[in-house]
Amino acid sequence: MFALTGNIMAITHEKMIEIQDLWFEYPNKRIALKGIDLHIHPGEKTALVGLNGAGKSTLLLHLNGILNGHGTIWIDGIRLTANTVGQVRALVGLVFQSPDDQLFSPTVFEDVAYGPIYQGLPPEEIEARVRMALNMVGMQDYGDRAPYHLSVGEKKRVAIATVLSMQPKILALDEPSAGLDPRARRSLINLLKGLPHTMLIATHDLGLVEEVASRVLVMSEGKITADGKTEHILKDKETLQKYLL
Amino acid sequence: MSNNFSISDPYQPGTSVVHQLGAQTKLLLALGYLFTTAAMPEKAWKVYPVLLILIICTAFLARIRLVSLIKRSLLAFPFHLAALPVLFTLPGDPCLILSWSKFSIAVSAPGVNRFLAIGAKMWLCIQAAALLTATTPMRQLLAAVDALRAPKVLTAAAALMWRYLFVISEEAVRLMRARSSRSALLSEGQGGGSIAWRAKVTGGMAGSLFLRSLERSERIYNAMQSRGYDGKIRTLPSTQAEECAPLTLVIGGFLFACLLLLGTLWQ
Repeated sequence: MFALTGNIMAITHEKMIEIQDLWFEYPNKRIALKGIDLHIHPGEKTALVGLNGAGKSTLLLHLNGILNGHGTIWIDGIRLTANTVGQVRALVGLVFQSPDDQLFSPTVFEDVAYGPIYQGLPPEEIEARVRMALNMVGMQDYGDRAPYHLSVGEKKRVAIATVLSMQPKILALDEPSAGLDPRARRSLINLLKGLPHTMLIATHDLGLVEEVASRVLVMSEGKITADGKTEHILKDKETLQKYLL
Repeated sequence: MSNNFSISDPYQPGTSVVHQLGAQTKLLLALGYLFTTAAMPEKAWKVYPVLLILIICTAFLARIRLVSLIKRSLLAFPFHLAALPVLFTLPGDPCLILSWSKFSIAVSAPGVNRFLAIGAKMWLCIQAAALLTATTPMRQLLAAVDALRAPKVLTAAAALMWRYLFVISEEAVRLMRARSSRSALLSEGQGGGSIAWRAKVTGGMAGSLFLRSLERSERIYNAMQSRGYDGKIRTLPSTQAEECAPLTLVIGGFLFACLLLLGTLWQ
């Protein structure tokens, strides 16, 4: 039994994210996920595309146990259960679509420090992590600012910093380029290209997909209907038209 | 209705002595002022002007315009209406009898005195609070409350409320703009719809704002959970609250004690 568990750990550890037969039904009886099977390797940047209501955001919310469907989820070799959810949340940095939902503290510094505080780190380490995360997104001079007074692009960068400060291995981003002007979008794309993390990006922005992701998953009605390299999927007009992309 | 409605930060930056005073000291002095005003005997009418002069002098020192303070103190008006029943319920000599058909109701002299005292106290207290928020940034105030060992859940709730007040007010403005942009007239004269229908529309807008806020609160809770929130409020040790100025506090405490004594003697 012990050996078997060890083997499973060894196999799944090669995959940063592994999902097996994941189903989820909302309280209003709408089935949002219908048997998702998926694995993502360390360092892989994967885009999740599909129409509104396809189940992209629902899938992201499962990665760190915010939603709990039926099925098995492994994150960096740890099976997601009620007992491991804290560990898993330290590994998966989830960036929500609206930065106003993500940035809930009076100052940028306090927002970026929130995750490390809950990880129980000492104050000096928290401060160092906040500085590091703000530096990574180019917002090092904004620590004392109130999130409310930032532009949408700046809020998005700070929202990413709030999870980078937790030093996660995976970044799960929900519509990161939504609502951005062209300059802020370009800046965000460059930022995402430069980050070394394993990424799962739910988006409608095929330009962003082309530049950032090496792999594309197409979702439709709660299922993954296409999975392949970005250059293949984006050239496959039939698939794109079939799923109205 | 104006669509330019917005909630702005009451803090007015400055370099005055009042601005430079530590947030904890200002908070304690403001609490002392509130306590003194609330505890003042209701018939101590000679002391109320002194309490008002204190506000005026502090506003002058802080270079805060009195008009802005008075505007903010109008917030007290609706709460003043809650004190209306004391006009009729307090026993004493009637000073006015209101009659309608077979019914009559007496306004008592002690009732009038208490009603006016409650109004004056409320007005003074709101001005003190407005002066405090005009001279102290909110995050310093929250840090000061935290440093005074108020329950963390209270400061966290206040911080969240402050953060989302602006977001929700912007949503309200967007709703009002959407309504105005569809409130067109085909010809000159009165627009369509009865008052009841308009009230229903406004009620719908308020309901929509409530539902949006509720949904947002769920999303915020998800964001908190995904960064490790486990139901306990944890913060960094406060570094923003400055040290208290003991001499200023002693002088303030002495002044408030003298005012209370005067109020007791002069009633």
